[in-house]
Amino acid sequence: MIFRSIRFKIISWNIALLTLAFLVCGILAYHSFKFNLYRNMDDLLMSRAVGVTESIDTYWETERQEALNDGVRTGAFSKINNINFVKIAQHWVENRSSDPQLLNMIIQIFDSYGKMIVSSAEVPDWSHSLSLPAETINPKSGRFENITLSLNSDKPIDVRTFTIPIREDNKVAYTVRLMTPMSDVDRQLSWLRMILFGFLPLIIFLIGIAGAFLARVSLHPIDQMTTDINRITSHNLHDRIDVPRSNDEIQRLAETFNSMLIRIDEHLIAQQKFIQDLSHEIKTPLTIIRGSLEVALKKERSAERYEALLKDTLEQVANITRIVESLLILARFENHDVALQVTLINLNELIRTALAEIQPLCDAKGILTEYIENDAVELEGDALQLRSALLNLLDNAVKYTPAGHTITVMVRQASGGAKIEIKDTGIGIDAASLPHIFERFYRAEHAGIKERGFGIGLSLVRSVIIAHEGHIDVTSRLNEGTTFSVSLPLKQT
Amino acid sequence: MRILIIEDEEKISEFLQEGLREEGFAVDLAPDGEEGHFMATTSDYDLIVLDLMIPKIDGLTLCRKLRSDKITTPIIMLTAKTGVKNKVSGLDAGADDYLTKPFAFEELLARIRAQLRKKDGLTDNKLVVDDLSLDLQTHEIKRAGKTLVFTTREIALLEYLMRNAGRVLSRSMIIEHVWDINYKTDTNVIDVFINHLRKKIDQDHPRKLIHTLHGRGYMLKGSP
Ligand SMILES: Nc1ncnc2c1ncn2[C@@H]1O[C@H](COP(=O)(O)OP(=O)(O)O)[C@@H](O)[C@H]1O
Ligand SMILES: [Mg+2]
Repeated sequence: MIFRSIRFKIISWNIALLTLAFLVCGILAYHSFKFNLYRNMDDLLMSRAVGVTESIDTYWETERQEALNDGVRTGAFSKINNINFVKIAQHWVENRSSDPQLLNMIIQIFDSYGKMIVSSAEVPDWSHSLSLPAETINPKSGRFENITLSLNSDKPIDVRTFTIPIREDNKVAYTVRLMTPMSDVDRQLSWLRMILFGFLPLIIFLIGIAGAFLARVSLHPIDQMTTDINRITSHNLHDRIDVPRSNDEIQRLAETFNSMLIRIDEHLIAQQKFIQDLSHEIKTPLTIIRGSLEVALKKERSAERYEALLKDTLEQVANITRIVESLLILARFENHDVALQVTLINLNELIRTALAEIQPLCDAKGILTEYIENDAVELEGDALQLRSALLNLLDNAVKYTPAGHTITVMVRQASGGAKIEIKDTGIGIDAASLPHIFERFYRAEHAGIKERGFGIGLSLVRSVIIAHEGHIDVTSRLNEGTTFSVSLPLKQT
Repeated sequence: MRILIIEDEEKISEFLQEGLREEGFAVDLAPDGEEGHFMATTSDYDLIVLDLMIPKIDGLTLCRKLRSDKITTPIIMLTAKTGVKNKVSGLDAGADDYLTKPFAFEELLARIRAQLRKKDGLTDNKLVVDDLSLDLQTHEIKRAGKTLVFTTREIALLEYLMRNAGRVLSRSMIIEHVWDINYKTDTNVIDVFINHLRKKIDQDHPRKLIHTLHGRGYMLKGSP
């Protein structure tokens, strides 16, 4: 589980990168430090060696001068194979080896054959001669070498040596070799190693812990959110998760999640409302069918009675069908599932045909119709849907208007669109019911009105108008009449 | 037994009225809350079937109103709404029972019988006076072990008499509980029906159960 967390990933990457960085830096630092230490040591060895040769040469020169004054032969002045030079060198080493400048150093002097003349400390026999012939060593730069010595039967020590031959007339006169133990350098290097490989891992470890803590703190809201989200089921979709006021990705994530919840919730509520409405509305016809069939079946009935019963039942089944169908249409509208088939419509024409369609109803009921065309209006819209909306409004006007009254339809051009008015002088709607008439299944109460629908007509009308980005308004007075005014834009976007 | 049905859906009240009448009930209809209230407070009903969604005064309000008017008649509520909350609010308003649409007619009948039984303190669907018995469910009538055949109206009259055995019942009381409102009150018809009952129940028996109290009415009573 922990291995699958972001926290683990962040921390492990962090530590891996840190370790790599420290490793590279550490190795570079170690080597440059080591290089510098060696160089310093080598510089020291070299300068000391030069100092030693100069000092010996000066000493020899003074001795030679004295011998000259004493009238000694010239051949004896060469340092090569000269017993005097050997003595001088031995003498010099014995006197000067305690020079503080040469502290911690072993000085060895070799003759021109590479044989050791003198050594400031007792060294093993094998180092009594040079490892390479002095002629092969560059007299300018000398030669550095690491060797291991066992002095005084102590445990062996690593020493760095510098060998430089001194020439006289193109021949090696003598060779100086300085040795200095590397323990100092080794100590410093091991100290550095300890820092690099002991202390740095500790730092990495601490950074890892700090990182883990930081990751934990910053990712805690996500864990919290996970718990919150898990709490939400289809039963409490209206619950929201807590939004941390952190002004970061996590807050945005929480907000996004909540807004998604709202969308799902709204959809689910609409769906539930649909099911509720449907079941509620079809219960009445179902009750009628069930009850009247049950009562009829209790006894033998006449043929006429059975026929009447079957007709009633059929009518109720038709009612159920109508309810289901209109509700489905309505639900599709409300879910924006209906794509409008937009064409250019002659609105005047559309109204005229709708009026013609309800004319038989009006004639049967003794209602007059009047059509006022103030302007010729053409607009973009779904002809079928608009026609059905108009028919619903007209149907209502006929239904809720008594005989002898008039229904007036008016169409005109208005600012930015078309305006249609459907006005009746019928029974009107009381002020308490007026705000609700566009609601699904809402039917206002009217004294003495028998013919009634399911209260879906106006909801459909409104859905169609809204789908056209239009607007519908109603004004009504009880016993005086009702006016529906519809505004529609000329163009559909 | 006389029942008031307050329901605005004509088709529903139609079949309810027919079905209940065939069961021997006297049934009156009220299409809205106002009329329902008027009828329930002016006539003595044995039971009220009340729809929840009715015009003018809704079912719940009407129920509360009737209870505050001291009308104790059992009320069975009908509603299209399901759910415990609706049921609870219906019962809290003073209804005795609650039935959701669409219901089985037989279930409504059973519940009506149960409410009437409760009202009269009966424990089963059988009325017994002396050696006369009436099964309210099957409408089987027996006197001294012998099965008798009655018409629906006669059964309704007998049921009323038996439910009130030992009590004097005036003609107007009988009219009110056995015949519905559409019946033009003619008390003579009661005498005719009482005679039918007498013939069927008492004729072959020395011990008479139906008694006439002159000027006061009738009474059904076994021997003490
Ligand atoms: N022209 C009108 N005059 C009076 N009342 C109306 C008119 N149009 C609609 N109504 C009221 O608005 C209610 C809702 O209308 P509608 O949705 O078309 O349902 P219905 O199927 O009942 O006609 C109607 O039941 C009626 O009470
Ligand atoms: Mg309508």
